[in-house]
Amino acid sequence: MSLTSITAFMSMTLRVVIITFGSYALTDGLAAMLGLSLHRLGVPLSDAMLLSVLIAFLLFIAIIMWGFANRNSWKRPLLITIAAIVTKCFVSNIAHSVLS
Amino acid sequence: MNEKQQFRASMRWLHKWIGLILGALLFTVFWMGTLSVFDKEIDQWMQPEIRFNLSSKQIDVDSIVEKIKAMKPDDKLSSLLIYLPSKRKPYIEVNGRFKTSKIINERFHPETGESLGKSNSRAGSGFIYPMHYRLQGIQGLGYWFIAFATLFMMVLLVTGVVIHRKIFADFFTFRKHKKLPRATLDLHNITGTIFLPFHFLICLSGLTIFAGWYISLTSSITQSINNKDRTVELFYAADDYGYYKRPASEIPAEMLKLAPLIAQAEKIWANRYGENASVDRIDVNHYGDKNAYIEIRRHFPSNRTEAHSDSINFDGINGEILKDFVASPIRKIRTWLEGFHQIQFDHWPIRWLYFIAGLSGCILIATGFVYWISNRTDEKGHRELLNVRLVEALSIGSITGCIAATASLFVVNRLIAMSDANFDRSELEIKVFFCVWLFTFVHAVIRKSSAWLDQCWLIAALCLSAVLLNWFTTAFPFTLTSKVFWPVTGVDLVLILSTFIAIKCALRLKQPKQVESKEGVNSEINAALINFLDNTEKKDK
Repeated sequence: MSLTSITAFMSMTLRVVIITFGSYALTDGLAAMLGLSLHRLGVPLSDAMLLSVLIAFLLFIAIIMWGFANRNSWKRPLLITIAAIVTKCFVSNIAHSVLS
Repeated sequence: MNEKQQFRASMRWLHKWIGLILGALLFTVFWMGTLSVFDKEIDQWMQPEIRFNLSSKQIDVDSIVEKIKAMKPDDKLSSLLIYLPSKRKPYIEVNGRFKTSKIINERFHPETGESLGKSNSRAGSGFIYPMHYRLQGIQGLGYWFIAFATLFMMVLLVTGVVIHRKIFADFFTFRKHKKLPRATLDLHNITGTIFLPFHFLICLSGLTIFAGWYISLTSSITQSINNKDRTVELFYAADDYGYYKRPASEIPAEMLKLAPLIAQAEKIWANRYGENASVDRIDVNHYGDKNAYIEIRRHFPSNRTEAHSDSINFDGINGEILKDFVASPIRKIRTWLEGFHQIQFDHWPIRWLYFIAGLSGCILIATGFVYWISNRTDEKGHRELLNVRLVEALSIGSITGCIAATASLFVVNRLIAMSDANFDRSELEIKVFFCVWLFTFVHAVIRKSSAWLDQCWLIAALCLSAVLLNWFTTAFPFTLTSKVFWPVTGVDLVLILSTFIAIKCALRLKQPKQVESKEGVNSEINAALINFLDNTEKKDK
C-alpha cells in the first residue's frame, strides 16, 4: 500500500467515526431540545421525553444518511460536529430553567 | 456523475459496509427473535414437567404465598413477585425475596398447587429470548450492542430502498434459475420489499422497549441535571409506568389476602374497558410491614396489542387504592409499540405470521452476505481474495453456524434428560451451544466454501436427532389413544421441516455449478416487466 492510499484510508475512517458518533450526539441534542420545548408548552415531562425519543430514532436515520451522502468531503462531518456542539450547549443552558 | 447518482452510490457504499460490519450480529438477533415468537412452546419442549394445558379450575393464590413462607420458616418474607398462569404458560411462577436468605424461584401447578421443581433447562424464555435482546455472557453491554445494531438496521432498510429504484418490479421478481449473484439479489429484494413495513416497525418498536434507558443514561438533559435518581424518576419511572414506591416502616402488620384484591382490580378494569380483564402479575412489596403495598397488573391483555398498560397499587394492610394508573395518549403509542414487539396477545395465525416475517428477516440478511460473496467470485467459483474468504467464514459461522448451534441446544437438552447426573444442567446446555457455534467458525475458516454444505448436513442431522430424542425420552406424539399436545408437536414438526430444508439446501449445493440454463416463462415476464418500467422511467425524464 502506498502512502497516499494509507492517508486516504485513515481520513475516510476518521470521517466515518465522526459522522457516526456526531450523528448520535446531534440526535441526542435535538431530542433533548424537542423534549424540553414540549415540556415548556405544557406536556408532562415523561411524555415529552418519550415522544422526542421516538422521533429521535427516525431523526438519526435522516442525519446519518445525510452525513454519508457525500462520503468524500469533510464538509458534512464538520457541519454535524458543529451542530452537535451548538445544540449541546443550548440544551445545557436551558435545561435548568425549564426543569426547575 | 450527477448529484442523484452520487447520492445513490454513497448509499450503496453505506449499505454494504453496515451490512458487512453488523450483519452477523443482526442475523443472531433476528434468528433468536424469530424463535422467541414461540419461546413458551420451546419451554414446554425442553421442560417436560410443564407440558400440560391451562386448567379452568385454579388454586387460590394465597395458599401459594403460604407455601413460599413455609419454605424458609426461620426467615422473614420481604417481597413477592407472582406470575399467574396463561394459555401459553400454564403454571404459576413465584419469586420470593427474604430478609437474609437467597431469593426463591418456584413454579407451581395451578390446579394442584404442587411445586414443579427446579427446571433443568433455561430453554426458550430463559436463554433464546435473552439472546435476542441482550446477548449472553456480556451482560449490560449486550443491550447497547443490540440497540446500536438495531438503529443501523433501520438505516440499512432505508438505504436499501434508496438504492433500488424499481421497488414495484422487485416485488414480483425472483429469477432463481439465473446465476447466483442475480438470484440472491432477487431474493434479497423480495424479502426486503414485501416485509419492509414489518422489518422497520419491529426495529423501531424494539428500540422503544428500552427507550427509557437510552434517555436516562445518555441524554444531554441527564448530564445537565447531574442527578441520576431524579432523572430516572423524571423520565423513566414516574408517570410513564404507573410506578409507585414507598419505604418500609419496620412496624409489623397483618397482610391482606391477595384474592379479593385481584378480583377488585379485575372488576375496575372490566368496568373501565367493558371487557373481561385478567390479572397476570402481582408484586408484593414490604411483606408483613405496615407500609406494605401490592401492585396488581394486567401486563399483557390477551385481546389487544398492548404491553404494560394497566396497573393498580393497593395498600397491603387496609386495601386502599394508592395509585390507579391510566396511560396517557403518548404513553399509549409506546404501549402499542411494545405490545406489537412482544406479541403476548392470543392469536395463533398472527403468531405464525410473525414467525414467517422473522424468518424473512433472516433470509434478507443471509442473502445480503451471499450476494456480496458471489459477486466477488470468479468464473470457476474461486474466492481468492483474503477479505472475501474472511467474510465468507464470518457469514457461514453466523448463519448456518448459528442455526446449527441452536439445533445442538435442542439435542443436548434431550441428551441431558436421559442422564440422571446431578449437576447444573442449564449451564451445560449453554456451554455446548457456544462450543458448537465456535466450532462452526473454525470449521468455516478451514473448509472455506465447502463449509456451507457440511453445515447444512450438520443442521439436518441435529434437527432430526432432536426430534427422535424427544420421542424417545418423552412420548411419541401421534398415538391414537392420547390427544396431540400441539405446543410440543408443533416444535417437533418445525424441526422435521428444518431437516428437510437443510437436506434440500445441501443437495442443491452439491450440484455442479449450473450456468444460465432454464429461462422459464416467469422470468421472461419479469424481464418484460423490468423493460417496461425502465422505459417508463426514461420517458418520465
